[in-house]
Amino acid sequence: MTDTEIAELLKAGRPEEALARLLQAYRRRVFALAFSFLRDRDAAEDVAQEVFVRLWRALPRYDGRASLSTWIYTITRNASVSALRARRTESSLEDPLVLQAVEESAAEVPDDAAADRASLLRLVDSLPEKQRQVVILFYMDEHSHEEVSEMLAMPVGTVKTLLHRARARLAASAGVVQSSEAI
Amino acid sequence: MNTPRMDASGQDDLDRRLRRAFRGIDTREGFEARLMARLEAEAAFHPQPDLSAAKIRADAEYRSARGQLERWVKALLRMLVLDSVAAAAALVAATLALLEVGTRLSASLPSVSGMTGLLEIIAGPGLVFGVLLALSPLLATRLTGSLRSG
Repeated sequence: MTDTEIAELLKAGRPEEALARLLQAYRRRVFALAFSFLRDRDAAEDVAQEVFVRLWRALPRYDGRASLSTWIYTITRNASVSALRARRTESSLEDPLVLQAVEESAAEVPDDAAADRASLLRLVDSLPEKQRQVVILFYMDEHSHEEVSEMLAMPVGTVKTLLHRARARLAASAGVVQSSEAI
Repeated sequence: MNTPRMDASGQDDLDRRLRRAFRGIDTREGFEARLMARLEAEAAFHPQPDLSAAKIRADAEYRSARGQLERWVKALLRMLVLDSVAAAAALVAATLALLEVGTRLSASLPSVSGMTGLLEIIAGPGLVFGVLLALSPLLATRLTGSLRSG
């Protein structure tokens, strides 16, 4: 799906079809980006809904000149930051809803694997904010460095650096470190 | 900064475990149905996007048609200014020349003095028409101005 196709659907007076295509292409990404900010499945879903509502309202004005993905990610980041500010308590990946989702998807795997997942999520949760966001986006849907860079509006090099540092921290904490070296 | 380093197999293992850790975190089932219900509820308070789209298209068409008309009027005006100034100058010059010839003729040939009155009758409206023609670009500019503001 290209931005031009969406613009043409809108021009042809088929906004419902345009929205359906956008949902198909961006639902997971918008949710993942919101989740990387909020670390709360329900809150991230609320933000994702809000993003698509805003998108729906603004779609008639879209003419295909601006990049849709940039626009969608900007709306998502802004909505996530607003939601984060509106929340009184910090949530974490240890949120019961997140752990429940993990457990549901881990129903067929042995208990020790489920425990490993829970402990890894706790480790990710303890990372500095930007590192945590990069890790969540990189591993949640296996987005590329470039995609993560676009989603977070930061240079690809920064994404790689943050990911490298986060992996190193996680590896050290998860007990897979082989050696240490000053960089 | 000291950054722990690990080998490729350790990295692969960590990658695999992280991918597995985030598997299953997704929106709840029925996300799209909930969104559609919300959009339907929104429709009561916001204009329908398809109507808005139609209005935007109509506005664009109107702007385009108006732009075309303005360009056409400007081109016409440019021609009108040159033509009318030339025509007015020629008309005034011709009228004055006619009057001069008439005056000289009546002075030297008393028999044609009766024609002088006729020439004056012709020259008067000729001068007025020449002045009006010279003013016509100004009138046309005012007309275009009112078209733009409308």
